Amino acid sequence: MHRLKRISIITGNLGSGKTETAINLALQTARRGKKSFLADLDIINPYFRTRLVRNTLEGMGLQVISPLGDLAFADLPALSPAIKGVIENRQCTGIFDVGGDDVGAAALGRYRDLLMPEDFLMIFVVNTCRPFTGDTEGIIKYLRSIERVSGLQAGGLVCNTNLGLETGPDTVLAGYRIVSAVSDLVGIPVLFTVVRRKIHSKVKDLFRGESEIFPIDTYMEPPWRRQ
Amino acid sequence: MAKILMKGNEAIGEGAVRAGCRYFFGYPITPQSELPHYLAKRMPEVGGLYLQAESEVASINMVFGAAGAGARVMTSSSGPGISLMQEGISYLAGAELPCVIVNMIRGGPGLGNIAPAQSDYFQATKGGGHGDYRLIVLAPASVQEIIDLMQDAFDLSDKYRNPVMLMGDGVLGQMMEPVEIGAERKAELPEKPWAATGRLKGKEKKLINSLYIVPENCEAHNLKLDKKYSGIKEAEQRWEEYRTEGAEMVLVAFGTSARICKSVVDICREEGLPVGLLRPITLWPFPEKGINGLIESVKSFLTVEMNMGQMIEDVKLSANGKKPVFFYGRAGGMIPVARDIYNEVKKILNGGAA
Repeated sequence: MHRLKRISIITGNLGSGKTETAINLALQTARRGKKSFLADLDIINPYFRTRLVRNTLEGMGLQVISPLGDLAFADLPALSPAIKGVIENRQCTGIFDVGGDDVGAAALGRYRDLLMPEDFLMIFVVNTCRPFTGDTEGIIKYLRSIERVSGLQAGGLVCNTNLGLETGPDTVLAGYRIVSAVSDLVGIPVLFTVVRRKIHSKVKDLFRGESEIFPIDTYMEPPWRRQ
Repeated sequence: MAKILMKGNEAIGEGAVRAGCRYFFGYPITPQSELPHYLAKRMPEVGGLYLQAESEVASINMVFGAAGAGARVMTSSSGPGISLMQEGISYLAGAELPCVIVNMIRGGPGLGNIAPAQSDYFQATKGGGHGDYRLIVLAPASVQEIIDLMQDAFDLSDKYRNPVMLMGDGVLGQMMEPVEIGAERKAELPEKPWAATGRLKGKEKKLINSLYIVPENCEAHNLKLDKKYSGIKEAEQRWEEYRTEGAEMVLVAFGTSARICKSVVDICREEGLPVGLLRPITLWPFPEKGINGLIESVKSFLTVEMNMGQMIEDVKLSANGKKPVFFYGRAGGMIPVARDIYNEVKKILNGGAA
């Protein structure tokens, strides 16, 4: 994960796993003792958003930036002014969890002129099991549309291929092959492959070092799986 | 065919496309906007039409037009938008036009909020619009079931020439689950000789209308509709029973509530408590046959809903006073917690008042 910069901007197709990736990345940075902010820039997703697990994450040492008060329950394009603070304060690390698709990436346009190229890395998360991003052509189409709308260039790809609880190591490897092919076509490196912690060792065995594997814990669970 | 990971709202769109639906008219509203978003991309791929109307009132009347011309057509919204559509829905039922209407319910009444709810049960099953009519109402509880029920929704609407409502809540629309979408069925639509597709030489003119200005004629129309509804009630009741064998108490819940109740049943069974679940899949016709099948063996029913108690009226009508029917619900966008339902079950089993 040494290729990450001070600010990681997590983008991708709707439902590609940006929020879970962002939460886990932010927790990892926080664990390393850095002042780490997780910013919820999702202006399109009404449920399963970072703000819902704000208290849990803050209990784990993370600073969460998301719309406060009643706004947390709204579907308004409201962004916290604290996001700008993270961009300007060079002492802190920020993980930006952006909304899905080009529509969600539109929120980034607000910060385009403030972001210094040396400060940030825009990451594009791919789940090849999701509609429209099952092949290189579809993925590249999405990647380009998000770059166009945000006005920023993606600097890294993340493979998050999964079928939820039905994910097997083979699913992950098949997905990685597609993301890797995209990487060759567009010249953007695959930074790592995300897997649920439960299947981490199996995936690691199967990959044999082909990609860095990032094991994650999931936070966005449906109500019947919540404790 | 390999599985894919879909949101419920996307699955409604894909299910519709696979069922041969080629026309969608709608207007965005949270928490179902992923559905129009999906179809805006998907419809052009299959030569279909996606059109964002200027309002829900316009959408439902566009549905009326397309259905009248014999097309497989769909619209979708959430509570406030569905309320706006009621006039059109009544006209569709009156003119006996097949179509599919999707309601992904949010917290109400009024503007309410964008959180999940099941508070539009009355609106969907007891009318909503004016006049003596019924909608066939389907309530899936998983993303896979959405895919499967979409085909049935269109088939039922064509078979009975009646609007079908697919009803879920925000959670069902937003959550992702792996689904098998299967091979695309060749869209063989049934003949629709009544469709207004132009007057052919020598044939009777085709008119799509719900106007019966002479009361005798309007009553005859109502009797005809009633006969149709009776047939649907007899033939189309659907439900799922989960661990009801030997159950003394049966939970009755649909959609997201049913998913939570399944975990409650599992917890109860692990502790040796004889509890099962009846999950209505058709909300209209309500599966009274399912309730009747259990009425002799169970001691009580507990209806669990994300509202203040709506489906419980149908459970009570079906139980017909033979067994007590209790209620547990959360409202306004709140989701019942398995532990709370479990406590309610224990309370009732121990003879406490619900």
